[in-house]
Amino acid sequence: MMSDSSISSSRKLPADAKRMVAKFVLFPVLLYGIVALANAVFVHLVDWRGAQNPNERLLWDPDLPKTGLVILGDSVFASSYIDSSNQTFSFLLQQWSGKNVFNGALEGADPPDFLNAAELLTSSGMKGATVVLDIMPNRFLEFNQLENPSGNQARRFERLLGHGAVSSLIAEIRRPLVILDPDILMNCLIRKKFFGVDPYRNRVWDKDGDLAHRRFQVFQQQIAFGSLRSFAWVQELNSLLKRSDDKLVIFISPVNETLINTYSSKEYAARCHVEFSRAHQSLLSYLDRQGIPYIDGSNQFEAEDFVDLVHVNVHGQRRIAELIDGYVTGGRPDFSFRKSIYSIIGMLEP
Amino acid sequence: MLFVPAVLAAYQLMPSRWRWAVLLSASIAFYAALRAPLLVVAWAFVVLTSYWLGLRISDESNGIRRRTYLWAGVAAQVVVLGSIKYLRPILRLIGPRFEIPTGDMDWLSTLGISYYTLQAVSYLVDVYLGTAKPERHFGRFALYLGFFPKLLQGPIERAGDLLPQLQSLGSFNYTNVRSGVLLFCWGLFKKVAVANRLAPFVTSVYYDPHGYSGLSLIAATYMYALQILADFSGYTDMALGVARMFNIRLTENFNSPYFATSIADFWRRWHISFSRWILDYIFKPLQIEWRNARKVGVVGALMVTFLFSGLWHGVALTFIAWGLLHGVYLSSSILLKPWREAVYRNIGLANHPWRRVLQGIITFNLVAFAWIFFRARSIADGWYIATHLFVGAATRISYATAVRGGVMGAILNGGSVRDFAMLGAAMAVWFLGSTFRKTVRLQEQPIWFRWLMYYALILALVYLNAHDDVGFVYFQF
Amino acid sequence: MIKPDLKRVILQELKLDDWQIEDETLAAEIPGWDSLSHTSVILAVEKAFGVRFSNVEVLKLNKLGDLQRLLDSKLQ
Repeated sequence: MMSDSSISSSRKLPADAKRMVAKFVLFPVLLYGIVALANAVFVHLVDWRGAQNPNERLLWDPDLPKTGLVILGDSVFASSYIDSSNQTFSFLLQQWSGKNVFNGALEGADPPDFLNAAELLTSSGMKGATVVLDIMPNRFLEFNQLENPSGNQARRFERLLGHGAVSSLIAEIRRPLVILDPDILMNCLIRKKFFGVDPYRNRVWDKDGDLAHRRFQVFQQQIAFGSLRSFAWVQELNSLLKRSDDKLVIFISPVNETLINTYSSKEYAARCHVEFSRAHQSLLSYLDRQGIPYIDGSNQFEAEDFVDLVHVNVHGQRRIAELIDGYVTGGRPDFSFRKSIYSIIGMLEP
Repeated sequence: MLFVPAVLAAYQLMPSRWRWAVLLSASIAFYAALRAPLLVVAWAFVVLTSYWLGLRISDESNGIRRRTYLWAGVAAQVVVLGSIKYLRPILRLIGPRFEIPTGDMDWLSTLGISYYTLQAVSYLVDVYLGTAKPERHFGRFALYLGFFPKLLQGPIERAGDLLPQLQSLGSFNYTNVRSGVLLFCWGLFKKVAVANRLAPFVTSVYYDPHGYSGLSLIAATYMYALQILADFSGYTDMALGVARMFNIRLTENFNSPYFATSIADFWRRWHISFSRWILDYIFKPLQIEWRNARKVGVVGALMVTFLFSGLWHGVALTFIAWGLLHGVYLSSSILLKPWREAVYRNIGLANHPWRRVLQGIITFNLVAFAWIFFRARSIADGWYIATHLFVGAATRISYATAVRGGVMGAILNGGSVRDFAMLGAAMAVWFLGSTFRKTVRLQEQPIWFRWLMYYALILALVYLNAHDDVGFVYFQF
Repeated sequence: MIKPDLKRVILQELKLDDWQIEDETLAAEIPGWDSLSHTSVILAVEKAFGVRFSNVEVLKLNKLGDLQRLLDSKLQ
């Protein structure tokens, strides 16, 4: 059956083999060439960056930062509640410092996503960078809802990182070829507005509909006071970054205390304050123990800076920028003055 | 990913006498990699019993003893299949006290077992009837039952089809490898680009059918019909493609099933290896046994056969309902045949070309209706869906509200226009590709055309594959 | 060789006028002989010749020649 052809083909083997090898090599190379050419043309002709979601830059931007100031985090840092892209804190920071600031925060990210993000950045050659990560103190309070243990962006990170030698190589070759990403192409076709559209626009929590109130109700249902969750991932992240000489700085993001007082009973509000303080203190002592520097944003914000319990609006963005800038450039007089005023006021509360 | 090339290389390097060993060890390694040792043990048991009994049946001349061996063999397979697949659900039905903590076994435990036990039974019966010669070479026999491309989800191979091919395992055939890779990629496309894209729409409706209007229920059901076809035929193509790389032809499992002109025709086109199995090993014997009862006998045989089919797919009322529904379809078809012919003649369509089109549409809808029960999470859900297909748009609910919920709503909702567009593109590629496969013999085309098609398929995979991990639908069996 | 009396029974049962049936004719080739008519033909043959085939014997039938031989063996 097959033996006949194998006998005759074995005589032609040398010539056939050469042709086969040539084909095996030419096939992928030609494909790559065509795609790369198409990609070059596309990138040159189309303003594709302008059409993408700035709050997912980490996932689509082929030019990942090699150093400088890098922002990581979740929706607090992902700057959604603004009306235009020059109102983000990262943009302001970039303006003030004149240096490049890369905002790699992702909406809805969880600790596994932070670790994946750091993995992605370090494996792309990020060295000597300062990475600022936001942590909401309530991240360490127990939730009733189960979180995905692989994070919320697990699939996309898997596509970017690969899970073995071969797939990581493919991922690396693929990254600069933006024309191969259907999400990117779709965004170019459907020019979506990412800011200034409901609910992602500038707003103040108590003066603009009941979004904040509804969200707080959900929060109340999901939060379960009790033990605190593990801080271990913070140190894991720190070590990961340290291996590439990157420095981790934690930004402890603020909580809208006024909202809690307004939307809940006195007892519940008091309980909240206690639990939040507990989480906050534990976080601080953990960071001190591990030697991880931090910017404590709690009590640095006013009620008008907030959109809901944890997210900030345009004012809040500016405040975040001030705080980070202050840390990076080594402290500004009014920054520490504001801090002491707040703590005095805090001491005066009944 | 590197598994197949490695096996292919080892296969090539070995002299042809030992090729079966390469494939067998690869198959065992493959099965073991699933980390369900109980399955490997079960498989080994199936192999040993059917090998030994096959030889006994063939060598024995005493008719009664032959029959005993046959029934022993069949019973052994049924026991293995039953205990692994159905023990837990049955105990659970009896009462929570009997719950066995087997953890992941529930899903994993069904990989492959349903397929090779049936194949073993077919082997024993064929040997008994003299249709096939028993395989004396133990290694080849084990390979016949465990060949890794078909190990997990079939096709169910007949001794007469597969054993001779294993006798003469040919060496590297470039054309076969090439078309095998292509077939594999095409099956992969159907699975990850079409089936996985349809799945979320179907799941959202079938997870909570009470929240959706009739229009959405209909749409989701049609989408499921397409999803299960894409999923299972995709898997089958992947299996056949990999087998082809080793110069082995496995049986075609699908033949444009939704173009069937009758339910009987549908079962000649859907999951062909399985339906041929139930036809030859359950239906025909029963039909012959009950031939004196004429049409009643046939109806009885049909109902039993399709009850078995339902149970084989899973121990749940929904699968049983699905099976029985098909039994009813076929029985009605037989009982009503003379009247059907009369109706067609009266309408004047008896020999009209459009008759086949009409029959095809009717058949597809009957099949899709039956899929409701196959997919529904419970018999109550299935019943609800079946009875509310045309409800929702005509009741007090306004059309706008009815439309906004569910699949229709998903289209109108801005974000999902994109998903729907991608799905449409995937379906278009599927349709074009299937037509292309039937009309063009790609291996005979010039090289630039072939490469163009390969590139098109690769790019289709890159652009259209859905990121969700849904798993193979038929894996549960 | 298919004997005329067997041929008559088959054609009568399938309601066919005439058809070339030979030794080698497979059951599937004769119009009407699908899995349903199969058994009715067997039944008709059994009735007409007063024999009874076992299930296994029927399952083994592939060609009409087989049926003829089976019938002959029963009639001896």
